[in-house]
Amino acid sequence: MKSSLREFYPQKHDCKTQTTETSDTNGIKMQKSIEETSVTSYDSSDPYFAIDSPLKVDTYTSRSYTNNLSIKSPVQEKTDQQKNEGTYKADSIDESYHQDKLYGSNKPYRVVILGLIDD
Amino acid sequence: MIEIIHHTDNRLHQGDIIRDVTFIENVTNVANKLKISKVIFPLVIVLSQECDLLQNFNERCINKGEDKHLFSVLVAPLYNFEHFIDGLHLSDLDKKMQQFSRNKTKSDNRNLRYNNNPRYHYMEFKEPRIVPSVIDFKHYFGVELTSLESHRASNIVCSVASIYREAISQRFCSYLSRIGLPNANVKDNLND
Repeated sequence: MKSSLREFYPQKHDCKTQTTETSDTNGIKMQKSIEETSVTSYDSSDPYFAIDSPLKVDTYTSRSYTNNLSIKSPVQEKTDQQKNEGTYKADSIDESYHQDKLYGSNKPYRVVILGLIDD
Repeated sequence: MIEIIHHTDNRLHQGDIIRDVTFIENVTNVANKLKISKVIFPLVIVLSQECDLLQNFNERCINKGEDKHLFSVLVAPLYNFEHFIDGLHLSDLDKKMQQFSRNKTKSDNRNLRYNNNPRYHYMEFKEPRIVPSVIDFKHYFGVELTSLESHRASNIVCSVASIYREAISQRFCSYLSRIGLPNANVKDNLND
């Protein structure tokens, strides 16, 4: 099937992740996932690129996976203290914010997507 | 201490803090290989003027003309202060940034925290769930409006309350409109 790159004309991608590998590139840990995509219908949520035929896509990310869970956030420390005192209220702290408070988890990171276009 | 609010409507507001916003660095097509490089910012703050965002929203709602439509929204990243002070907030982008003293009595630390450094805006939130953060005005960028609007729906963290958001906007405008003057010593040397 013929394909072409049309920037700023979005189309929907049905992605199926097949495998995940980890490799070092220039000292930066990168995680690679191989996805197969096929375009099914028009979707305005991604205005940056469009591929209109099945293709193989490799995704690389520079996000560090340093796990600093041993460092407790102030929110987590307060939670533990309240639990010890018996004053913890489950709905008083939004659990989703804990991720933002874990040092090392909220730095900007790069994602590079490589796609092979069939002509 | 900065106060935050939660808007009940779904439109973009100046001062909105939104998580996981994408900045497209470049898109290239070389020898049948499509390469898209993008940066994901964990937290950004909307800097576009509130009146512009409101007029854009109203005009799109009533569908009467496009004069007030915006193409994009200006945002700037928020960095975790603990990473920022050590110059490590962009380490996942392989960038080493300026370090600041952790000693609160040192001038660079005091200037930063008292917002006397025009490039940065330091924020401590009354909301304990949000870490102390620094906005770097130099790293502002634009995001396509409709995509940010739909992204906001499930990724809005909170919104900076009025007067605090105007203070941020005013400092951002001052930073953008700064004028660098030539070094007078260089001119004197040339005349010798």
